[in-house]
Amino acid sequence: MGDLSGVHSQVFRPLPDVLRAEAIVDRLSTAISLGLLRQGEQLPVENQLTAMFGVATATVRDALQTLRNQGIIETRRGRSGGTFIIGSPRPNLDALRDRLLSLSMAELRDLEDEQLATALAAARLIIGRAFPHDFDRLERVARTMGEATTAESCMRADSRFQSELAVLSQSERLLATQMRLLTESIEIMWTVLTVEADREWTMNDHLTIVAALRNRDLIAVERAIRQHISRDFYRLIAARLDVLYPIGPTNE
Amino acid sequence: MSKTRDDLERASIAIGEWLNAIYGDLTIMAAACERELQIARGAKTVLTERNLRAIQPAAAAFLARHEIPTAAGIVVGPDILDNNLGAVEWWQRGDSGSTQRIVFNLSPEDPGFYDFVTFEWFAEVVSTGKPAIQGPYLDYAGMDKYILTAMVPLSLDGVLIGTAGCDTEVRELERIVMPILRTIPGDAALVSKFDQIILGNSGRFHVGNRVVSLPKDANRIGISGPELGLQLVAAPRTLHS
Repeated sequence: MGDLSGVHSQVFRPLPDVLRAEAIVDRLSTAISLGLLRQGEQLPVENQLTAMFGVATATVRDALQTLRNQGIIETRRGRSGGTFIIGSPRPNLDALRDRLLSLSMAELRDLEDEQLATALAAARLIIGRAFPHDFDRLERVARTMGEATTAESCMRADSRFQSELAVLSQSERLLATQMRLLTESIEIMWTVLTVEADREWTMNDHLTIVAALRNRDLIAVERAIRQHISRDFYRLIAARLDVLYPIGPTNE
Repeated sequence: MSKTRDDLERASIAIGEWLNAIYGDLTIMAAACERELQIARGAKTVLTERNLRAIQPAAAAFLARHEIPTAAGIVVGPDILDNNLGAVEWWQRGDSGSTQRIVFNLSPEDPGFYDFVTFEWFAEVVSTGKPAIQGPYLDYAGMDKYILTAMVPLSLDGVLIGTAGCDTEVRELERIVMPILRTIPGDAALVSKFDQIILGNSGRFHVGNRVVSLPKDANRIGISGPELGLQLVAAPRTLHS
């Protein structure tokens, strides 16, 4: 593999340490926002983190220091010591906006493709596997959106619903894919969606999906999922284009 | 109605101008490649795969003139070279004005076999002798990216031996085409001759999808410039809600 061609040499370009520390901060912050890591939960010790992320000790230390400064984690000394999650990260709106703007039309479509594929696959498995009490549970999760009062709590309710779909599919691999997709996109989505305008239809879409699943009506399930996801992405695309390529007043 | 028509007309001309510049320079690049191949071949009668390296300056010159395409080069058909496989001599833009050669596996036994003769950008150009465009498509085992490929015929001593052209990433194309599409009121898209969407100005027309149905009051107009069958379609905006 001595002579790497152009594309490959780009792929295997070493990552600068500062980017790796930022990536760790982002990964942990998003996981905490989505509730994958919970308040009070203890993080693995430093050399475990070093091994898991595959980075240098100094990089892990930098990342943890950043999180400590943001009041998200705390390190306690002594017998029951360790590093614990004590706060929720403030969503970094500027960073999320930059991430949305950096996604091209083709990449947004591809992200939508994968979300759709994952949700449809989960739904098919659910129809074959879930019991009435599972649908009750999913419906309860869907209704929590109704009590959400901030974009952040809407985001968490939305994320809970989507992960619950994967959970009910009983596929660990689908759940892992779903979690990766949520990590990549759900925070961006709720910088664009708003409580007033979007909470209601999001919850109603989710309830439509639950009802169709309960009836084990695959065609209705697919229609509902497709409509929901394409509506989400329509909004995302509109938001991005309005910033990058605004339309003059004469054209609207 | 006629205002939309005017907006479409203007957009068509703007996109056509960019395509004219690209295809014009590809034709110039093809001629430069021919000269360089003649020199590299020297007194011998058969062109060798090795000779093709000589076209690098022509590809680099094209990439220097145009900021949006990501790679350029030539493709020579089987039965022309000494190896019976043909060759892809393809150069990608690197950092600060450099170019890097992309390696293609052209032998059918290779796991990453790149079967270029079946691609539209090769088959069509070689059979018609006219320019063509393909995409968007995922160029697996090639650039490994979501791209459009633009090609013109490549000749040597009056004989068509393959194609010369460039690849453009869909995400880069946006920088040229989106500002133009956004001047069209309503939902509009640039589509290929197969009605595949190259780029749309809203979430209605998704990159890569086929346009399956359009309302009766939709407009269509051919893109001026090189004859590639590209069109603009436009329809009154439907809000997704």
